[in-house]
Formats: sequence, C-alpha cells, structure tokens
Amino acid sequence: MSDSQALLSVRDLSVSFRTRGGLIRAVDGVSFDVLPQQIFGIVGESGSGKSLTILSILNLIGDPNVIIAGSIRFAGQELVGAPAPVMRSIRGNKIAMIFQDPMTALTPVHTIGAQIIEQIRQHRQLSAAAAHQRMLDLLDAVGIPDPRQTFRRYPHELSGGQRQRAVIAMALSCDPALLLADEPTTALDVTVQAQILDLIRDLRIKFGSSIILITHNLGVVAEVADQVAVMYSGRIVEQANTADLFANPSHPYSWGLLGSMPVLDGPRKRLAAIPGLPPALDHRPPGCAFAPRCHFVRAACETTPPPLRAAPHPVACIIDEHERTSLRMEPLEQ
Amino acid sequence: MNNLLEVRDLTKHYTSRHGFAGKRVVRAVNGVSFEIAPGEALGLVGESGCGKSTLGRCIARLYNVTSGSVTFDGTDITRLGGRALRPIRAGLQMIFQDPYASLNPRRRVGEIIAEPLHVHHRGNKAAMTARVASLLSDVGLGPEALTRFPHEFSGGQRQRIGIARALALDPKLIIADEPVSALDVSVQAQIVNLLADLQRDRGLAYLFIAHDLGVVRQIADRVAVMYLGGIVEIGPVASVFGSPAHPYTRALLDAVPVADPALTHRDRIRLAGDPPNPANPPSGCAFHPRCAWATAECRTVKPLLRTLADGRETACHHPLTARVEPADR
Amino acid sequence: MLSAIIRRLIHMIAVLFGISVLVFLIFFATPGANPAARIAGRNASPQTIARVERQFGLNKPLPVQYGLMMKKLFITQNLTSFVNLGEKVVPQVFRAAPITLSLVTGAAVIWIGFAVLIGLLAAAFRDTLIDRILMILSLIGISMPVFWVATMANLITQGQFHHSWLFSWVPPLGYVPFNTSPLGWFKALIIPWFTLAILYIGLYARVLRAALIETMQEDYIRTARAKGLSERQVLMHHALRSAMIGIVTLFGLDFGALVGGGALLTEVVFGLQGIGYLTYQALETLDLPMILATVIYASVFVVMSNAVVDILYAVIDPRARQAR
Repeated sequence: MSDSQALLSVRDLSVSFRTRGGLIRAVDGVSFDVLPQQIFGIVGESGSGKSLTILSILNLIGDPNVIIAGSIRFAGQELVGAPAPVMRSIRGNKIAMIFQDPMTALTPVHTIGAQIIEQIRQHRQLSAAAAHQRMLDLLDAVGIPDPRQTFRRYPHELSGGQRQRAVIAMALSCDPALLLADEPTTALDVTVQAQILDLIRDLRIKFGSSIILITHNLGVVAEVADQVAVMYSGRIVEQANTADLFANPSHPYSWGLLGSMPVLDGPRKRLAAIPGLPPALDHRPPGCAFAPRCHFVRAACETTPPPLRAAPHPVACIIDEHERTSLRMEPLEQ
Repeated sequence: MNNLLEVRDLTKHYTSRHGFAGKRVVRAVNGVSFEIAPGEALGLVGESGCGKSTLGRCIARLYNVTSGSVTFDGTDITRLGGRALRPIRAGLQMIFQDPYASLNPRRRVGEIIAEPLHVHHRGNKAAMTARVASLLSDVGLGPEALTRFPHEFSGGQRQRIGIARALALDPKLIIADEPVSALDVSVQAQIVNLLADLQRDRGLAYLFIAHDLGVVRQIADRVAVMYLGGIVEIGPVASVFGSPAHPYTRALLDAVPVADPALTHRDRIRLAGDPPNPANPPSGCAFHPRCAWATAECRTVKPLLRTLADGRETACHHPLTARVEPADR
Repeated sequence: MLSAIIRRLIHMIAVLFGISVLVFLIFFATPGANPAARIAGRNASPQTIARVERQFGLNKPLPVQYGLMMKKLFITQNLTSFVNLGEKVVPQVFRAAPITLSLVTGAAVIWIGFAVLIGLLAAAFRDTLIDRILMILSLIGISMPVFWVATMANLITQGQFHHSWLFSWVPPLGYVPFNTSPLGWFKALIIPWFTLAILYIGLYARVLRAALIETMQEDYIRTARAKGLSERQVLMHHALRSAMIGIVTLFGLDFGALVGGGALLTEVVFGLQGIGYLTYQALETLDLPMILATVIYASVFVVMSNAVVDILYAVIDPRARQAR
C-alpha cells in the first residue's frame, strides 16, 4: 500500500476542539490509505472519532473552535488547510457525502429532483434539460421506482429507504471518486438496510467510486468493506482487510466488540460484554485508552500509548502477538 | 388458567387526517392474540410501523384499546382506568428506549427509584432507603448514584436506573420497548446480560420489543414476528429463528448483516420495496406483494395463524417449513 | 379544499359571535355605561330616560337587545351611533378601513423587506461587528415608542425643515385616497409607513436571525455544504425558507392586529382617520354600536389573516400541505 497508489492518504490526522478547559483531542494521530474503488470501513462506538475523521476530510465539522492538523492528501492534493473555494470545488464533485438520517439530511422544502439538479449544476456546465435528464438517470441508477414521477416529491413524501436512495443519487451527481458514508443504514429498518448495502456494493462497480463507510455495526462492515479500521477513543487500534480482521482479530477491543454482538446461529451464550465505558475525551488515560476496560491490562499499558504494530496487520497493543493469540481464546470461552 | 398475560384479538385503530381527502383509519394493531407464562420472555420483533410498540403500549394500558381484551394475572384490564389500574401497574412495568426522556431531569436518582414505592405505600422511610440501595446494586450501580441527577450518567447507566425503577415494586411482567437500541454495542451487551440475569434470578416475565433480532434471541424464550399490525409467526426462538416458517421471518433473518465475511454471499432472500401503508393494507395476506412465494390464494384469502407440527404458529398459506421437509407430512 | 374553506368560515363565525357577545356583556357591566342616560343628555328627567330606553329598545332583555343590534349591524346595516345621533356606524367603518389598510399594508411590505435583509446579513456575518451593529440598531428600533418617532418625524418634515429641499415634497398631514391621486397617496403615507415599520423591522430581524442560526444547525445544511454550495447559496436556498416559518406566524398576528386598529398611535399622530382612530373615539365616548362595529371588523381581519398565514405555511413548507 504505497502513497502513490492511494486515492486518499490520511497521515497523522488530529482533530481538536478549543474549550475552556484547554484543547480536547477528539481524533488523535489517525493514518490510513484508501485505494481506488476500495470500500474502506471504519468501525467504532459513539465518541470514537470516526465521524469527525471523515467530516474533516471535507472540512465540514463546522465548529469555529475546531483545529484540524496532519495531512489529508486526495489524488495528490493536500486538503488540510486548503482555501474555501478549493474545498467547495471538491465537495459534492470529487468527494461526496452520504449521511446517517435521510429524513434530516434533505432540505424539507425542496423536491428531491431540485436538490439533485442543484448539485449537478453546481459543478457541471449542463443545460437545464441535460441536468434534468442526468437527475432522472441517477434516480433510476439507485433503484428509485418511476423516477419521472418521484423526482417531484418532497423528502417527507418518501419512505426512509427511498430517501436514502435519493441522498445516494445526489451524492453520485458528479461521479465522485470518493464517497463518504456516515452510518448510511443506521436509521433504516433491517430489510431496507440490506437493500441499501446491496446498492452500495453495486455503486463501486457501476460508478467506480471508492467508499469510506463508517458504522458501529461490525455486521455491516463484514458485508461490504474490503478494508477495516477499528477506532477507539480517537485512535485506530486495529486495521486489516476484512477477511483477516474477522478471522484473526488482534486487539482486545476488537474481541470485545465481536463478543458484544449477539449472533443468530449457534448455541445461545452469555455475551462477552466489555465492562465499563469509553473514557471521556478530556480524561483519556495517559497510556492505552482501552487499558481501564481491558482484561489483559499490564503495567506498561498504563504509561505510554501503544504504537500501531505491523504484524500480522496493524494493531495498537503492546502484548506480544503470539501471547495475544492465546489470550484471545479466554474471554470468548466465558 | 396459568398464563400471566393473555391478549385476545387486540385491535388498535386510530384515525389520521390526510390532506383534504378526509379521515383515514390506520389499523396499527389488528386482531393480535398471544399469551405469556409466568417467568417467560416473549420477544416481539418487526420493522418500524409494524405496530409492535403500539401493541406494547396497549397492553401496558398507556393507550386505550379499540377492541379485544388484555388479561393480566387473572384480571381483565382492557377497560380499567385511573385508580383501578394502579394495583395492576405494580405488577406490570415498562422500560423505554430512551432512558433519558423517561427520567425526570430535576430529581435525584434515589428519588426517581423510590417514587413507585411512595406511590404504592411500600414500607417506611428506612425500609425504602434500604430497598433503593439494594435495587441500585442489583442493576450494577453503586450507592454514590443515589444523590446524583440523571444527566450525570451515560446512556447505559441511565437505562440501568430505568430498570431499577421498573423493578422497585417487584413486578411480574416487564414490557421493554427497544430498551437497548439507543446504546452503543459494548454497552448494549452489558444491558442485555443484565436483563437476562434479572429474568433468571427473579422469575420475571418479559414482553421484549426490539427490531434487533440478535438481541431478542439473546433474551427471549419465544418470539412473535409482526408485520403490518398482525402476528405472522410465533413460537420458540430456536425454531422460529432456526427454520422460519413465514417468508417474512425468513427475509428478516436474511437481512441481518452477519459479522462473518465468509457468510456474506450465502443464499438469502431480499425484500424489495417498503412495507405497505397500514392505512391501506393489501388484500389477502398483507405480505403477498413482497413475497416470492405468493399465489392467487395469498392475494385474496387472508391467512390465519395456525399451529404447525412443532407447536409454533404461523399465518401463511404455504409455510416454508412444509416446503423444506415435505417428507415429514 | 372546499371543506377546508367551509371549516374556516364556520370557525370565523364562531369567533365573531364569541367576541361580539363578550364586548356586549362587558359594555353593560361597565360602570357609568348606561346608554340611555348618555343619549338623554345631562340632567335628563327619569321620564326622558325611560322614553329614550323605549325608543332605543334599551328596556328589553339583554339577549333581545343583542339580537336587535346584530340585525341592525349585519342585515339592515342601519345601526346608529349612541353618541352622534343618527350617524350610521357601518359606512363610517367602511370609510376608515381603506386608510388603515393602506397604512398597514405599505408598512408591512417595508418591514418584511428590511427585516429579511437585516436578518440575513446578521446571520451571514454572525458574531462579527456587522452582526452586532445590526442587532443593536434593531434593539433601538424596538425600543423607540412609535408615537415619539411619529412626533419627531412630524417635527422634522412638517416643521423647521419643511422648506429645505429634502422635505419640501412632504404633503400636509392627512390621507389622500389612492383613487384621487396615486402619487399623493404615496407621498402622504411614506413617512407613516416607515414610522410604523421601524418597531417591526427590529423585531422581525432579530427573530429571523435567531431562526436562521437555528436552521443552520440542521443536518440538511451540512448536506448542502457537502454538495459544494457557497455559504450564500446555503443561506438563501436551504436555510431561509425554513426560517421564514416563524416570521409568517408572527406576521399573521401582527398584521391582523394592526389592521384591526392596532395602528392607533400612528394614525392619531399623522391625522389618518383610520380604524384605530375610530375605535379610540368610540371607546372614549362609550359608544356601544361603534365599539361593536369596529371590534367585529377587527376580528374579521384577525381571523382572515390567520387563514392567509395557513396558506402561506403551505406555500413555504410542503410538509404543511397535507397536514391540514
């Protein structure tokens, strides 16, 4: 995975907020690469910094007290600190975004057709008729039935799944090279979620976009992602290709997440829940942020944050790889 | 009669104004019957709008029932109101999805948990204080929580407070409406474990309403699947989830993303479209427009719940189990 | 659609009935309001008062009196004043109404236009010097009593500066009907318009700014930014319409109240004999027929402007279209 191949290359990204109590670092030294046409999953719980990470790619955090540091290179162009007009020409054009709740993500007072056309014409010099046709094609491509009628509808007149399809159609308006999807199925019912995940899988083939998909649901990642990063308290604690991560999870937090997920087959057994709560961002422990909740914590964990170690895939844990493999079996056998 | 809760033909209709076209009747719950034995956990699953929350609230008598009956612990509570309902409430408690919205932000946790004890005149002050402390420890909170306010707690801890309040009067049945769906995965697992422990230790019965099938499987002994206001399948969790009889149950199970990339490309059925509008349900079987196995009969004749060989019931003319094992019959 | 209109009409009649009964009862419960004694004049003998009572039907039971008065007001339209004997009240109301309507409508156009402009600017430059200056100006506008502003305006434009080139066009106080001279109408009203509008510009600008800032926190604003729109486009195309909903509600109430007589102070200072002026006189002389006529006229406008607001809601917010 070299920089030259990567479509998006994030290095040492940190997102901090100025507060009365001093700087609070919500994202702390995150690095990852997204390859062309790759679906890159970021998994984490609320407060893990996963949303801030992708919002900072487009500088969309919208808080005057935020400080974004590090480097985000997109197709060779540095996005951190890029001037506003440059960011505007990238937003919705080369990098587009899909949000969690399609009900609130669309402006309630405009028809979905108008909202899609607005984005097309923002970045493309198309006639009104050509933009209209492109909008209909997009609605059709995302599986909206009867686009010629549906484009006249207002967001509240569509079902949740239809709305999310409209949001996706809008994101695809300008054939973006990268799609950022922030919990795109969390607000949806499970059968609709399955439809949307199928659609996202298709999009990569139809539109050739790379996708960063953030979610709290390991199942969603397993279904669609090629590569997965697990975030905890503002840091990536483990990163691997999807098959590897699920076959050989290596960070105790990843084990805990997997153990917390109820399964639908096999014998029913007590969930291997993680005790306690994630640390508050302004009271993050000096060492490994997961140490207070970790079964295998040792003295060294509590002093310095563990670096990402490369083998077999990047894991931020100081415990020796072989020892970890044997430890891993214990909590799961509870 | 040894059922703790018996629901017979429960129906809840309400009218909604719709444009200038006038009123429309929305059939939120349509002739639902089931029972819960003492100490039994019944899961109630379905997608949003299927009527599962409305059903739960009708049983708890937070809503008035249009028709049918609810019998709790031998008493018909369908038409009880106000004061007459009070002794029933001691035995039938509710836990809600959003613990924050259901806890008074201006009262201390100790007062919140003690309130049901006051309302029902349970014991003197010293006894109450001891009771509140023991409830807190039962749900995994320390005594320091007593004097703090709800906003000082995380979502999972608030849900623990809500559970402690529900347990204060030693109820026989708890109706839990999406109790863990607002929580993060790791915290959700803690609460699921807590609810399972409480059931085992106290012989509680649950009506456990959730859209997350995995969570329901973790808690429930039996499960009922709702679609468009009616139960389409009900039976032991192992058989309903292991070999679904109703095509909707199957589709629901198949839609759940599995945390195992090796299984993602397994053979599964995908539902197209959205659930129909409960104000304008399809003819015959409500599921037929989305069902891959629908026949002419399904389009015209509404299937009733009937018992299959293994004891579960399903409302389908052509149950999948009958197809899978045709040699058995 | 038709049923909605009928529903609203029934609603309006119910409101009018309620208000007129209330006004009627309050009047007879007011000490010193005895109309017969007033009509009969000072030191009238009991016989004279009794004759007047008979003549005006004031000796009949209250419900009958109410019915008679309503019949005269709405059907025969020959209800006469208790004070200026013989003067019919309905034509008076119809003479005063266009004056008030001209005044308030013109002021409303001005205050909405300026308030939207100021609100947008303040929201766009939120927390900068521009925002602070605009908000302080709005607060000053809200705080200045309208009669003081009006008097000041008169002093300047009618007084010592009247002959300066700046104000020599200002006509003498009073109303010029639009039919007589559109330009004269405009000249006569332009200063009263601004005087009346100042308070509402300040109020509405502040309300709109707050609504815009709240709307800018919505998820769909972030979506609009993620589309690559400029801040100006986001504000104008995505935030303004939702933020206008609160303004429309206020507008319905304020416009109705002003047309119904709330512009009294402005009317008095500028010598415009509108509804407010009429109501004021009627109240001073406790002239029941005139009070009833003006109050009923006012409530018709309040109810009507509420209906207009509902229509505006539907125009602004598609979600409101089917809910009604």
